[in-house]
Amino acid sequence: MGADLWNVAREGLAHRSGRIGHHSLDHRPRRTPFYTREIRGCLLAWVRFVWLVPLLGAVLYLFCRKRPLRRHAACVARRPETYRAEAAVSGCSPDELHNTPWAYRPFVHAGASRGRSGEKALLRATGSSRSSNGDEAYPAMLQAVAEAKRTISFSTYIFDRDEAGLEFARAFGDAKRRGVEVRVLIDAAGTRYSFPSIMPYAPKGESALRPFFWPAFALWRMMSMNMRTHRKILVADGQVGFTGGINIRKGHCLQKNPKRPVQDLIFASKARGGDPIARSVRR
Amino acid sequence: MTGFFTTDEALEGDGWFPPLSRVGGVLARGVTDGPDEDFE
Repeated sequence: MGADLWNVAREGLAHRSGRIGHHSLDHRPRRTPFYTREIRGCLLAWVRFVWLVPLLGAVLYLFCRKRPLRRHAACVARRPETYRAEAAVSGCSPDELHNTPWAYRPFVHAGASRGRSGEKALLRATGSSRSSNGDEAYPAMLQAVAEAKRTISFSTYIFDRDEAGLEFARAFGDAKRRGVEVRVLIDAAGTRYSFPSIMPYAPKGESALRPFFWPAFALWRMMSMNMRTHRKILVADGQVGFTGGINIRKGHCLQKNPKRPVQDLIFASKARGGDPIARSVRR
Repeated sequence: MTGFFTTDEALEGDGWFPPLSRVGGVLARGVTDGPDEDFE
């Protein structure tokens, strides 16, 4: 098949460059090779090749990029310093489970087949609240950042350089300047939803801002183009946690009449204690 | 976890993981899930 493909490509190039036309000047009868019966096999080879290209790409993605990345992620997960096994926290007592509202019962046993228990058991927490847009969530998140005394870890997908994004960037910078350890992880593709990007505004040294996987068009990096992190997490001092679907962009602030309004959920656990959401989020 | 994957920096210590105690009355549970991990 490879030789057939090469023959067709060579004849095609010769035809385009006029070589075949030049030969025709000697007035000898000559048929264009694309219309001969012999070339039919070559055309079929091209058809097979075109059909196989999508499959070939999937196989390359599977073996050349995705598996090594997964292996690397699995190695990272196995390192003891990255997976803190906290003291087991007992779940609800049998009486509490008996009194669990019917709507919550599927979540009591979710994941039980994979042996997940202990700290991820259904627990009773306090202070958990829900917001459905940035008008409600952003002030609470910025307040948590402003009140943080020791650490702030933040991860998001989209971080626009607009009114909302600059406010967060300033808050992280202020926290850094007052001695709080700040770690900000933004998906590299998510920083390109606005132009110019937020990255130059918040240099790495200022707020420990790091991009996750720069998308690139180089062939050897295209395999990771779809490796994106969509986690939206903010944890302050390891005690106050926010997680949900809200990115950092003006579009979530509905009261400001954005051009592209977006409504999404985010859950906050503001309890200064053993809130299971904060416990899970900070992992 | 994603942060460690990207920066190779492990966040350790009480600043990042202070001891927590069980409090409160709202039912809640964290379930790990995502494109590569399914809780089902």
